[in-house]
Formats: sequence, structure tokens, C-alpha cells
Amino acid sequence: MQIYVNCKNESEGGIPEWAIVELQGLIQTKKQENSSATVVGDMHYFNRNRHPVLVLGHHILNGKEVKLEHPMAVFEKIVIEDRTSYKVRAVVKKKILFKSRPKPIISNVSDKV
Amino acid sequence: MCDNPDTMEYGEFRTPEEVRKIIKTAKLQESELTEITQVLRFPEPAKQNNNLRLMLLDDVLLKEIEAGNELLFKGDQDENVVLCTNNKTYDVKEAETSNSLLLVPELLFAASTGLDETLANNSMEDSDTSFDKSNSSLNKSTESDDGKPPRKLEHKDIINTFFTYYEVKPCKPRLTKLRKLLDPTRYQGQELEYAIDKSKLLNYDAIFDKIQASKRELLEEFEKIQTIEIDGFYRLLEFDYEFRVLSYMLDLIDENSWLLDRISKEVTIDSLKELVPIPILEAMFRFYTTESVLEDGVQYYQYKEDKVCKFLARVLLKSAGKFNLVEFLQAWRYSVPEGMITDESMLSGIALVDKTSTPKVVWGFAESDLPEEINERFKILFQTKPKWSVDQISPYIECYATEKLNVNALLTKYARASTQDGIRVFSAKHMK
Repeated sequence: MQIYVNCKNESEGGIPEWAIVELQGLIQTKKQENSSATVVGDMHYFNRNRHPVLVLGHHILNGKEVKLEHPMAVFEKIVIEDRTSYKVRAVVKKKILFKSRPKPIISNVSDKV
Repeated sequence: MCDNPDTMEYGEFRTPEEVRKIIKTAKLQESELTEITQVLRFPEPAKQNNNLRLMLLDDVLLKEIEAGNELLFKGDQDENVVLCTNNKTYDVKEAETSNSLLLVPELLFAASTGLDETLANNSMEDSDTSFDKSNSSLNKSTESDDGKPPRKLEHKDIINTFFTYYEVKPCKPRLTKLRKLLDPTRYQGQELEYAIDKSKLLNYDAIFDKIQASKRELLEEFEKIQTIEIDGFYRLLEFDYEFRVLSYMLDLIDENSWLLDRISKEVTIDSLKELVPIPILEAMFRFYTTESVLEDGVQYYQYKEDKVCKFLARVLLKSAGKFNLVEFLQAWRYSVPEGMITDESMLSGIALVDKTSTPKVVWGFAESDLPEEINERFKILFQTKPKWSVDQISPYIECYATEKLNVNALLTKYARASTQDGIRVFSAKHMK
């Protein structure tokens, strides 16, 4: 049996490059209904060293932009009339890695937005 | 890790003001940050894509993908899946990570998020005295936002979160199945075609579908095991039939008084086309000859001496049992076309010689007759002959060698090394 992987890409600049944001653990939201989008957090970069910082709820995570040792492909499984194939949607060459322990934000009550 | 009771966190969008407040709350200095803030979101369920998979690539695969070439996953239910390019095969394995991998299309890396414009903003603020600063007391930060343009935001959706991905490793194509697929329909001559089960005949597409190999590797194997396309189906020749055809071909050398390097392809095919189907003649000629000289615009060929001699040795050794070595070598010498020279070293991989017995003996021992499973095979090898030199055993275990694990490494793993009369020999790991 063989399953075809289509690597043809229609976009002009070649295959898109996506990114991975790597976090330790799992992100959970308290939101119950799931019909709309949910903000997870704000990511900034420091001018000084270009390091990313992610504000995630009550936590600050300091991270690093890392070139992947091996690039990754993003395959999409497509099933049409019981026939499965894959399409390459993007490649990933870099990730934003947050591997240190999150630091809590200590704030005054009046600062609460 | 992230759960904030603050209701704002659950919104669909951030406003520039909200982002600015969070920057302050987090005790970050906006002036130290690049221009654009990216707001990561879990998109609405319809925009999440659960059909995505991540796969690690090597440089070759990355280039294939960037060039837009097609790839194939191959494998039946009972096989580990492989990934094939046009000419390479990769083993595919699933790997896990305890970290969350959030896949974000169009995420900006630092270099694309703009340089800080604090200096420009500060000078603007200084000149703009009419601006109402009455709300500045709300800002605990020493830095003032007033007069600053709104913070630039981009919302980026996490298309999916991954805890697994696929790893690939270049591997040998899995070709042993090919012989098994083709064995039941071996061609034995036109007169015996009626006996062939036509439902077992396979064309290229059917074979390619079943064999875990790339196109180029499959075509190479077709040539290596001498597969011939007859009426659209790929066939092997039955041993006796191959001998018949080869004998017809070799007999022409004598009939036409050809020099060994002046074999004519045209005459060969023309003389035998009544006896043997042309596709078989063409293929047999290709298997057994190489181009020799070009004379007056005519290409001449010569038979591959090694290959012809080996085949004829197999013919002689075919009947079971051991042969007197001296007698065998003599019969063999007479069986090959005049001018070709047989040599005992050609027997490597097809026969074994025992020089310790009286008289010395030789018997057929073909790689293709051994079990596929490596432990089983070593067992049989050491049962047949307790001690092997590397050269002797290589033809029988070469098929397991990979780039990383060569024949010597295989021997280190599956056999015991010792030295006998100054030669390194290998014997069974566990003596009985």
C-alpha cells in the first residue's frame, strides 16, 4: 500500500515556514465553551538580545529562539472518498523555546486590569 | 500552567492598551521590547487542525520538499511504514515529548518584529506639551505611554498542540519480499506458460505498491535479481530455463567463431528469436554482457566472465550433495566457453569448499537459500561450517549491512572472533 505525499506548493515564495513555540507542560484554560478563539498570552522580544518573553496569565516565561537541529515538515492528512493522502503545508526550521521555570508576576491589586 | 481568573484573558482579541497594561504589570519595560507584540491564541475550533502531523527531516528530505517533489509512505498493515523519495527509503518512527509543541503559522521571529522606536517617541513626547497627562498617575511605571502610538499587535493562532512527532532514519529498502512475490510465476518457457496462475502475475504498479522501496531502488533490484518484463508483467526466469537460454547464447560464440570481445548483439538476438521471446533475449544479453569495442560504427560486446562462470558453477553444483573438488574444478573449466578462466574465488557466495577432508570437497551453498532472519541465518552458517574468514562469510550476511553497521560490525555483534593460523576467523557466539 502506498500513501501519496504532495509537496507541491502553490504559494509563490515556496513552502511557508511556520514556527513552534515549545513550552514545558501543558496550557490549560478555564474557559468552558469553546466556540470562539481564546487568547493564551502575549509574546514580546527584547531589543537587547532578541530573546523572547511570554506573558502567560500570571507567569512570565523567558525563552530563546532556537534553530532546530533537524527541520520539521508539517503534513496534513487529507481523506477524500476513503483515499488518504498527505499534503505538506509548511516546514519548521526554528522554534521559540521556553524551557526555564515560569516566574510569577507579583502585582498590586490596583494593577489588575 | 496558565490559568488566569481575570476575565480579560479569555477574550478573543487583545487591544493595544491591554497589552501595554500587561507589559507594565509584568514589570517589563516597553522601551526594551521590539515594536510588535504577538498575541498567541487558541483559535475557534473550526480553525484548529487535528489532521496535522510533524515529521523531522534530514537535509535530503528538506530539499525534496522545498523542490516540490512527491514523497510516498509505503507499507502494508503488518509492516512498519517507510517514507520514500524517488531514490531513497526512510524508516519512520513516532517519538514523544513531554513538552507542548505549539504550532504557529506565520509567527514572527525577533528579526521581523521591528526595532524599538523609543528614542523617536521620546522626542515626540517632549515637544507635545498640549497632551493631557492627567491619567499618568495610573501608570506605576516610570515610563509614560502618553503620546506614544498604540502598541502594534498581531494575533497569531496556535493551529494545534503536539506531544508527538515522527522521526525518519535512512534505511535499506525492504526488498526480500520481491523474490517471494515473483517466485510463483517464474518463466519456464513458452510451452509451460499454460501452467502459470495468471492471477499471480504482477505488473510494475502492483509490485511498486507492495514493496517498501523507492522507485530507483526497486528498478535496481529488478536488474540485480534479473527481472524481465514479459507482456507487461515482471517475471523471474526459472533456473533451468535461464541455463537453456544462456547455453544457446554461448554456443553462438563457437558457431560464429567470435572472439570473446567481439560478440554481436544483433546476430545473437536474430539467431535465437525463434527459440526465445525477444524481451528475454534482450534482458539476458543485458544481464550477461558489457560493451567492449566500437568498430566501424558497430558496438561489440563481451560476456561478463565472472557472471557466466558463476552461473555455470551453480549448474554443476545444482544436484544436492558434495563433489570431489578436483573433479568439479575440471568439469567446471570445460563447461565455460573457451578462453574464459574459472577461478575458485568465484565460488564465494555460491559454494563452500572443505579442504580438510580427504578428498577435498565442494558443495553448493547459496545465499538465497538461507533463512531471512539474521539469528537463524547465523545459526545455519555456523552449523554448516564452524569457522569462517571475513571474505568467506561476507556474501552470506552482506544483505544485513547498512551504512552504520557494516559486515565487520555485524560479525562483532553476532559472532565470536578468534585467530587461526594468523587469519581472523569467526565462529558461533555461544558454543554448544
